[in-house]
Amino acid sequence: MSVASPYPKAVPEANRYIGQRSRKLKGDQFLTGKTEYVNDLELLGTVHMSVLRSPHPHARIRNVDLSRVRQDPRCISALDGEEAKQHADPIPHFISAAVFGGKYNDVRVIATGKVTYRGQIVAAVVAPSRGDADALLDLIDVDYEVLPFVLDGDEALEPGAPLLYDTEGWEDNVVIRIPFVEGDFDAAAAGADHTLEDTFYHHRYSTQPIETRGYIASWDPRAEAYTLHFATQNPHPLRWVLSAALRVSEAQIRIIAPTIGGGFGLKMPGHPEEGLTCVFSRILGKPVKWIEERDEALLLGAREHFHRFKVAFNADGKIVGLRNHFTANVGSISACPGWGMAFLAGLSFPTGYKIPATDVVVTAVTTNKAPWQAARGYGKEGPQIVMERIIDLVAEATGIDPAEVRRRNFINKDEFPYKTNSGLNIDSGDYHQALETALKLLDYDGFKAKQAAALAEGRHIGFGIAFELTPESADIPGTIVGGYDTSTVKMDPSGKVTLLTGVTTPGSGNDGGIAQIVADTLGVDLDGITVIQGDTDICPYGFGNYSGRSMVSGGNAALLAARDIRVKLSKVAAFMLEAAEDDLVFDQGKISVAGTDKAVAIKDVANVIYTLAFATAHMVEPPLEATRVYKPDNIVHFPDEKGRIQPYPTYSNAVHVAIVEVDTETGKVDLQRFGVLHDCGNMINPMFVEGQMHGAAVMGFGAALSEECKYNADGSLAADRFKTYMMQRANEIPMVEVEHQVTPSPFTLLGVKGAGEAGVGGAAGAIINAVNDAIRPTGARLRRTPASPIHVLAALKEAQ
Amino acid sequence: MIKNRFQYLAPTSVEEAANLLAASPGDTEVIGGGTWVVVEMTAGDRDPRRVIDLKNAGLRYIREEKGAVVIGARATYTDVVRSAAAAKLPALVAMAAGVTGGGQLRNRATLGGSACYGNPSSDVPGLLVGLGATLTVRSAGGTRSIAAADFFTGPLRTALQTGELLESMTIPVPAGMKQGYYKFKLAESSWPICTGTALVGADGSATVTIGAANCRPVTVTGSASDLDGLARAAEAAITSPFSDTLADGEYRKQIAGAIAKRAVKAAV
Repeated sequence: MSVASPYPKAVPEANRYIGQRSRKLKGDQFLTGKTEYVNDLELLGTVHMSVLRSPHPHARIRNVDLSRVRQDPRCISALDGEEAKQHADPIPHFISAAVFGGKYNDVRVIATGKVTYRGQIVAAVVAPSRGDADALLDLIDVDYEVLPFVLDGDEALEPGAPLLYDTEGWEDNVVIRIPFVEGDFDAAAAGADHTLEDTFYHHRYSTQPIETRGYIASWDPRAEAYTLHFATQNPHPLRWVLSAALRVSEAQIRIIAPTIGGGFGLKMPGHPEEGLTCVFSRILGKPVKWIEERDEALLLGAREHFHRFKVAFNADGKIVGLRNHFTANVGSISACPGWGMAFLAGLSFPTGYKIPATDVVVTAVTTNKAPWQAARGYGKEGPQIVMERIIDLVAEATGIDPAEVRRRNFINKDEFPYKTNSGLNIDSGDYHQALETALKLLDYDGFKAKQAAALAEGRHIGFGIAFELTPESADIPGTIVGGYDTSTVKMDPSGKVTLLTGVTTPGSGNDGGIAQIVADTLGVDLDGITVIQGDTDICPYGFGNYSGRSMVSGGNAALLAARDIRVKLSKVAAFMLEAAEDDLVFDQGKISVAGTDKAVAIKDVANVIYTLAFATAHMVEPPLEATRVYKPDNIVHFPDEKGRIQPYPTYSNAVHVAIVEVDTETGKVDLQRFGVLHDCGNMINPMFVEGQMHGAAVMGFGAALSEECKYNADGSLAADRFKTYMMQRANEIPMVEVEHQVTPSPFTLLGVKGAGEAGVGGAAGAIINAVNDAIRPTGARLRRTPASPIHVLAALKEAQ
Repeated sequence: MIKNRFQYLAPTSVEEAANLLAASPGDTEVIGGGTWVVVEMTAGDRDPRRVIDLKNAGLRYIREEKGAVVIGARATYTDVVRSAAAAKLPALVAMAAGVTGGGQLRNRATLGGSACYGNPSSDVPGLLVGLGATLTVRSAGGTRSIAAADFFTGPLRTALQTGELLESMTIPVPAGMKQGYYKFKLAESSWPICTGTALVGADGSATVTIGAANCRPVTVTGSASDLDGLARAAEAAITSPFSDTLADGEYRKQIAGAIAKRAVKAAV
């Protein structure tokens, strides 16, 4: 793989870190269990919070009686919603639908007036231990007026459906309806050889990091400031959220995010427990700790779209029109950024295919399910699954090979940058080549014969293909979701480097990747670099972790900052070596003059800059510190003539292939092989990219096969533990066979694109297509996720 | 988090355990490995004042006795897999080895605990019924024996009376018969959704017990040479299908026939 040289005179290729599979920073600490997570921290005097959650999906709170709990000697403090209102304002919405013309509702740290989902917080207590706090919840008496509720998105849209919110502007349960319309679909359909109509249900599932959320809030009455040890992906944005809710300035809040045991979106801001621990800490002047239980983490959902689509296409497999009006059941309104996934699901159609006329409308509807929270893929995974179903349906209808239908509809490599119907400007790619490589990975050409032979024995095997376009590194205008980020590089007088960045790591290894960039730029050893992330008082302003942004924003910012340091080192070294700057080579801790044996240690140059600022180093400004921001190209927020914006700088892509066998007696799907060709442009560390792809693909397996936020008819969550919310286990998944293609981004300094989100939708799409390929001889068709035995058998029975 | 304090008791004999239980049976839980009761206590679904842990009560044994294998209530799945005596019952070993949740669960969880929990959607009830086991239960007043078919009376219900605890399970070694066990799950994380325990005689006569599909295990008989007939009988025998979060009864009934066939195939 070749990486465009990011610095004036490159470190010799043999000594470069960029492109290498350098090991994870502090990886030994993870492996040996020495890493400290938030639940490992014990601050002196810590007390513990527990929250009482509504047992009703929809009810008016007539009264909360805390008298019994307050009489219990274990009770240190207790609050109901009305009391909490005295201490905290509504939580600002991380991405407000109102910014885009949708509706808004106040969300508070404890509900007041009404609860709109089972699990909403109605009161909270603090006790010396978590066990005591949990026990105290039994002593809280809440009087509810139970109201009719609605769980289904379509039912919530019907006239006469229970209305969740009775505040101004809520005449129905629609949060927002967003059209993405381009061209004349009806005319395209009228002129096309064929049309087909079908539906697809993309069910509700979530992300479940093994470490749940956890917060320790400490108010220091003397300093009049909070120190918050929070398992959060976004320390600076969270500081903004909390300062508004808690009526303090941002300077009064220091957030320190310790090591995170997985994020995947769950740990983005807006959760009521964030502010609630702060409120109690301020009342008590003590650290207040809350660790989320698994059944609490499982409340938060994502996805649940019902797609109704019509496709117009010609006999040659060319698709000329797509209409897809779909609903997104976003659950109750929360301050978290979950609902925004509905917006981006609509925006992402029709992924990497050239379809002249598109009429895509998403309707986000609120129901009495718990809210959505951001989940890896952030809405873009749904369109992958649905578009890939559509391509296979067109293939089936025309009798053309599904791979060939893709070839005929893909954007060509010479058409980039390519502006999609929804206004996205796709940077670069070679989808045709990606497809060919992926097909070879699992021997697509040889599969037909194997499939026929298996069928002769009564076995149903299938091959599924899914192309995946992953818009990455978003900047959403008018929100605290930024697409740029900041990094600081410091070299101290002993020549050691400290790297601080606004990007945070959820465990993905981006700290190591960014350090690789800095090491190469300065010609220093990777081991000599200390990376600091996640502390709002120490790190430069940044947006943290989401949208595959770490290398694109934080990595490129670190490159710019390191270059500034290098310029100073170069000037002083040239003076010391009596050489021209152009002749200097930075490598392995030394600056040498090319073609000679003259060299000086970088640490000596650093020392000179600090100690001889008025002599040898007179021509540069000490100290060796630089802070730079990187704003990637290609983001356009001024609407075009059609009112469209372009919120993503990069578009990684992938082609996923899966082979399954379906047990037609039970409906069980056995995923036998899985491969993916991934193209995220230049890779700083291919091992980290592959690690991300492995994880995302397995999330996609769970999405396609087993993970499901099931609800009971009474509005309670049925899947409330890992025994009922079934994540995939190592012994049921095949190897994830990854190959890379490198099409650098023309819009980022290092040619990198986002990595980390890609995989969920592509893997799920390939599996759903493979299942359909396997059961096609039975006449059955699976029109939903997950392809669990129950749903697959139902589809098979329906066809009988 | 276990929210309320409780008294933890670890008696050193089964008699002592029974006497402790008799003292206050209404608010006492008995645990083998604790892999269900403790989980439910953590979730707040059980809130006992006393917990009797059988780990020191001398019930961790598996031995051969008069043509039968006797399994103490505290024997773990791993104990079964490693036991020379249990090797006479390949269906039992296959069941125990197939318990997922990983080595930690197999090393801690007990067959006895699972039997007492009586969750239809689990391995043990169907297997014990299918192999014609007898359960010995103890109270302060002594012991009594209950046939497995009578022990499992319904979802999460057993014939254990107040003040009784399980002491052991006796499984006869079925002479001259082949044994098979087949379990169907939705995914690796899933509880068993339908299980089949098959005994096939030298003459081809087959007895299959379907577990996890019905509120109580059901047994059908037929011929190993007429698998479709057995399958139809198995499906027809599911008269009160069991539903839970993972799968409704209708689905379990639909696959019961296929599972019956697979259990017989596992035996022959």
